Amino acid sequence: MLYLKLAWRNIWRNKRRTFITMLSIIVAVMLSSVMRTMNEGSYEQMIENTVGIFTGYVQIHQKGYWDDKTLENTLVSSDTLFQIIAQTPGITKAVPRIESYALVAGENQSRAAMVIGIDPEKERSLSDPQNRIVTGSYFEDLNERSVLLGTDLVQRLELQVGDSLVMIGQGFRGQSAAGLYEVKGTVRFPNPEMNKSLVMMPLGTAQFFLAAPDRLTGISLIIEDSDDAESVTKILSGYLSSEDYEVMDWKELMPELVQAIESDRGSGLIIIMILYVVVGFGILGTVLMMITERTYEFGVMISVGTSRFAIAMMLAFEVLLMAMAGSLVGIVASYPISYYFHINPIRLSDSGDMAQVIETFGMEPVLQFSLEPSLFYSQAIIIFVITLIFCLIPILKASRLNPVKAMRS
Amino acid sequence: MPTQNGNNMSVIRTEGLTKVYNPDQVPVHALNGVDLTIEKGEFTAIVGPSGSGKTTLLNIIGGLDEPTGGKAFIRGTDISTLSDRELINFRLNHIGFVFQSFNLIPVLTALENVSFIMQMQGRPAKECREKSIELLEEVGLKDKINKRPSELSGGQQQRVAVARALASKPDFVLADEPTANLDSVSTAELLDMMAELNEVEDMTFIFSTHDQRVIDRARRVITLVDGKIDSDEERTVDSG
Ligand SMILES: Nc1ncnc2c1ncn2[C@@H]1O[C@H](COP(=O)(O)OP(=O)(O)OP(=O)(O)O)[C@@H](O)[C@H]1O
Ligand SMILES: [Mg+2]
Repeated sequence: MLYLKLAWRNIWRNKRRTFITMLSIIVAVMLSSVMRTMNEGSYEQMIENTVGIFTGYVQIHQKGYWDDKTLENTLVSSDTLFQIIAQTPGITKAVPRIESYALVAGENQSRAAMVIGIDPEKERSLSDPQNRIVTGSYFEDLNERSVLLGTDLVQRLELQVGDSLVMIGQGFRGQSAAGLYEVKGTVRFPNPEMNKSLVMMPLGTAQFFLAAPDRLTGISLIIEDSDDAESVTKILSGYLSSEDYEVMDWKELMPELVQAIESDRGSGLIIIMILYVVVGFGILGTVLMMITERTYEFGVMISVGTSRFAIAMMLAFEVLLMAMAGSLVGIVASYPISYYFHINPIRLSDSGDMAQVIETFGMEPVLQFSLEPSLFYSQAIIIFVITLIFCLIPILKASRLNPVKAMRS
Repeated sequence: MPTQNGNNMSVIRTEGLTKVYNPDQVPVHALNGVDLTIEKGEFTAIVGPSGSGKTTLLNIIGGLDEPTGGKAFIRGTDISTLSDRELINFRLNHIGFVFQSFNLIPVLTALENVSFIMQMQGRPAKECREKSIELLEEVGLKDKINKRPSELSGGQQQRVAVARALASKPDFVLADEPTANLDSVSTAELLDMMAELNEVEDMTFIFSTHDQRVIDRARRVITLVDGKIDSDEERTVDSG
């Protein structure tokens, strides 16, 4: 109590120094947590834009499909398979798809396109095409002979809603595939790559086109909590024959994405480490100065019988109070910033380096900050601990002063 | 052995104290064999020219500095045998200090400065407070107990320092030039007060000074020259 009282009064004694020390802690917490929320926000967005709305966090394929994505490696859709999925805890929905490539053509133009057969109802819980329709309308049943095209693809093919699209490709077991379909609408995804090449068909139509009735390239699973992808994958693998099926979580499905995030996180970490060191030395400086100014006073205190422990305690409380207040204010001050950029993501100029990197991953160059609470308090805790570590030496130094020397200064 | 009959022993006894600063470079012989005995109830001035070793002697007696040679006993305890930690504790419980200036903890009031020492000794809060008020009354600062040092004059600060020095019930009070920064009125007041505490409570005071008016009030004057005792005279002064 006595030490706390002394510490408290000393904090108010030199308001300017206290203010500077606290400000450096506050700014450090703000910089580091805003930076972390920016980075993690962009990763969250990358994952959400690819995995969350397209791939799904977990997929089931015929064994070998992911290595060799051909129609020969498709699985046969069966009620038992869907029953097993339904019984697996943590899974809320199963979204079947058949995917392949085909040449698509309008009257004057042709393109290679990614063809995806979807179940119009079930697909709502994954890519939700109906809500992404720009013009035209959504599929009404599983077998209608129509397609939805990516917005850019439509332009390239010089087509409009209501026109016919010619599709030529190769079906199951090398059978030739050809067909004429009505363009029923256009869809836009946050993934520019998809807008350039996507053709969506109702599942039955696609299976018929590809001469692969009842076959699926994969089943994407919607899970309750995306953090459980790995455990759900494990459980489901246990239920399914590993001879016939492969169950993969998004990290296995998209190792390049995981790697890109990891390496970006790594370089972010280096920058943030530099920040920590700068802040640490800044605080070291102010605390050393404070202790130097008070050397005589410590000399008197030790002379009259104040234990070295008491001196250290008093100073530790001073630093602790400042660090605690600084970290808390830091959190409170950084949250609105991250919140603002969460609501109003930063749109990167298309020519910038960053924008190009992001676009190569098939994503919109937009930075949306994360609001994950742990990002804020972990930074506050780190800065708090760094402050204490950097103050340790000055505090020990002060408590070990030789009283005679201290008082001669 | 020393602590059992400690009360019969001299408050301070030194044997051939020497102190050499910078022994390796340019040695400064600050003390050259000081033998000194101080008994309870003394009111003794240590005088001598600047650089004669007064501060050095007081620091060694006060357990703030170590002698290069010789021994210092406080009530029979050889303080050179104490560890740093024991020494701090020893100072807390046996020695009162008054320094030249800036004696007080700036963020504490007069009352808190005095009771701080007793709190460090682990005495109950109520006792600390009552005793501190009593001491501050004794040094004539009844109406200033809640003032911080910055709100007190130099003389008042020194009086608080004396009250603090007494708070731990020490064996003696050491004061290195306590009046050096005071005007003549404050100097006289401080000395009156110290003399009274000496008379009434039989508190032992040892102080160094350059000031003739202060020397005149001492009942024993030890003169140091070049780190040696040059003269040591008992005197009678009219007290009060
Ligand atoms: N830490 C030190 N290092 C080196 N020399 C020192 C140190 N402290 C004191 N001295 C020297 O020791 C001698 C005695 O110094 P001391 O301070 O004891 O004298 P003093 O009698 O108190 O002088 P003053 O009246 O000026 O206060 C002086 O020559 C001084 O320069
Ligand atoms: Mg001196």
